[in-house]
Amino acid sequence: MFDEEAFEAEIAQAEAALVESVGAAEEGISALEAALDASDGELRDVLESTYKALEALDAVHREDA
Amino acid sequence: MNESIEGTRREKPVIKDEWFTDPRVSEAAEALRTAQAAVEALEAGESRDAGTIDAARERAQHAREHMARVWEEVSADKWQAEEVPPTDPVEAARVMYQAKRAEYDALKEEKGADDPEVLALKKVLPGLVAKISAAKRKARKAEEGADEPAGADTGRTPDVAAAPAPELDVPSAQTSGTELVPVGDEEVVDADAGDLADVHARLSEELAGVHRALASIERAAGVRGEADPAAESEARQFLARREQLTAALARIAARAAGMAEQGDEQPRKRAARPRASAAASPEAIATGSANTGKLDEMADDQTGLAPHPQNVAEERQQAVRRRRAEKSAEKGAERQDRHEGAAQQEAGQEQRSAPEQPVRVGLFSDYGDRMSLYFESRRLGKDARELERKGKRLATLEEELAALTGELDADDEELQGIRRRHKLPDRAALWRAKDEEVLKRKEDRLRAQIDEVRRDVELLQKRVEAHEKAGVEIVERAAKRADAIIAPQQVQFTEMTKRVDDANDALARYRGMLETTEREIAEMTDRQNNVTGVSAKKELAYLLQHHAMLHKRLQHHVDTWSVRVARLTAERDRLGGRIAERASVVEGMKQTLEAAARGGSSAEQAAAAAAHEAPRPRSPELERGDAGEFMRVWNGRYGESLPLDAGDLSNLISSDPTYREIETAARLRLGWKRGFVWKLPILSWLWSFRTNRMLRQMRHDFLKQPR
Repeated sequence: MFDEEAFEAEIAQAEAALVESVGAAEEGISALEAALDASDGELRDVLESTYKALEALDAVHREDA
Repeated sequence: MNESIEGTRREKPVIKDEWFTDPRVSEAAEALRTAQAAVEALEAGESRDAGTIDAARERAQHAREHMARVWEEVSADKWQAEEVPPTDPVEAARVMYQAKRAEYDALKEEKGADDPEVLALKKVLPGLVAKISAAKRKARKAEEGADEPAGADTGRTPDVAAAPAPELDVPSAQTSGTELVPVGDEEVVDADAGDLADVHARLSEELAGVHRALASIERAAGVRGEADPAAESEARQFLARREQLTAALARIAARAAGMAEQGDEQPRKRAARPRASAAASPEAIATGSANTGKLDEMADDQTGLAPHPQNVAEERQQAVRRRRAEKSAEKGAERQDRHEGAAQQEAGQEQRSAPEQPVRVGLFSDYGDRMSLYFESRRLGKDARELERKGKRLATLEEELAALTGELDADDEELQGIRRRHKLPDRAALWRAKDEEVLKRKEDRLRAQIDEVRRDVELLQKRVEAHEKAGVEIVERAAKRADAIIAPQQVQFTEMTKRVDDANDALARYRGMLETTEREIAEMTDRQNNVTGVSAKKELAYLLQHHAMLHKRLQHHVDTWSVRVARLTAERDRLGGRIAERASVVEGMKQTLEAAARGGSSAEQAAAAAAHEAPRPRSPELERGDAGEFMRVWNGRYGESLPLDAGDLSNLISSDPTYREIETAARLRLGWKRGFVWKLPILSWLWSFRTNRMLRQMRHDFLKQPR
């Protein structure tokens, strides 16, 4: 015989799990995107300063040569 | 010059934002967009005429090609505008050598070392290296304020006769290390008009002797045809002496002029001294012996000592030897004139153009005591003895030269005899042998230059290695810092991916319940159709109604949550693209560092750099030009930031471009997008890493590509 109450409870549990996991995933995505956006500048600074250092090194090398 | 400029350009320019704002690029990009939009509209259904669509596609293709041409033109202009041609001759020579060397390396790799074209190029390289050395020497001389030396580039042989002033390095009173005191000052100071005339006569004779000695050295050098350090040194001494004598004569003239003006007959302070004796003849002065005696006599006269005896016999012998040597040297000079007359002329010009010392009038007029004059005269005596020593040495050399000339004459006569007997052409063999000697000397000099260049190259190599080491350290630090930034995000991404997976799992479970409900409804419907009892039918109807409500509710939730979960999945993929893009840059740095740490060949490093710089499509589908597969990979990397048109990509891929070229084309079509700006510097550096060999190879390959 179909257990209506048990099924309802199961649905409610599944719904809760869905809401929780989707919410957590959305939070994770937002956090990651924010972290990526925030570190864009930092990473760009690292690479640009590296590039400048290499350019300066090349300039010194050309002068030496 | 073009070659020099070409050689100094960077192989790939760093693309800058302003390139994209160039009106030519904007116009071409707009035309391309318009043409592409027309094709899309026609393909979307505006027209079913295949001809119209094909024509539009053709127009789009033309616009695309025009865009590529414009970009090429603009980038070339911008790039060229940033370049400064080398003005430094050393740099220009080096650039020329590097360009030729690159061509040689590439050709050698392509065709092998034995290919005639490669061998021809190889022969050119030493000349270019010599040019670098010559330019360096010239620059060095220029810095020291000297004239341009005879160098390898002129092909002139720096022998004694032809050597210009800087190489002779005529010593001055300050730099010679010998005490080149002015001649005759004490006499000038103390003398009356009669003494002045004597001193003037004596010094004039000595000067004439010095001139003759110099001419003799020049002739001897012309005969030898090669540099002789001893003769050069003597020539320097004679030149210095000539300057001293010239200055002293000028002082005497000034003194005489002063006397004439003042009418002042200075009282004679000393006892009557011997006048310039016959021993101080030009011949004796040339050999130095008589002069020594005269000057020593002067010195002893100041201290009241007895004069030195003159070795008249030795003087006479030396004069005879000198005349004999001069005669032989003249014979040799006649022969030499046929070959190097111009060199003697140059030497003569050099002698005439020797700088004159400033004339110092009355240098010792303030010195009254005899001790000062004594020291001065001792110094003069020392100078005279030095001159005597040099004169003897010169005489010895002249004797040796005369002997050599005699031998040569004998050989010459023998050769003439052989020639007459065998009817050989003239004295070609002798001159050929001499030419070979000259060539051998030139070869030795060239070898010395080569060694010098080799040392330069080794130094340069060390500098390059130090440069590379420093570059590696910079990139290593950058990789660590970038890794530190990216690593937490990768962890975050992993956790977020797990949450998205959980959401997908939860949705799947929910969808399973919906399916269960659907199965229950189907079973109940069957049972309702089969049961006969009224109560049973009512109960089933109630359950069916309840399940239908459940189904509706579940279906609604599944629809709703499916959209959200799908969006989450898409977001996850997009962020995955951003993460992968960052990781690829760090990975590229690490690969480069690994290659550098291995100290691998330039080819390996070039491969490592090129693998990162311009990766070819990786999947077989892409190799075949499958635009769909490429799109998948592309979107995996760049997400929604750079959506590409499949038709464009298909065309691009079918022409087998590099990945970078596709990126460039995409950027052109879509405009400058976030996410690439920061990536370019490091890619640009990777282009310039291992510049010396790798870039030359790349440039060669690049130039070989069909346009």
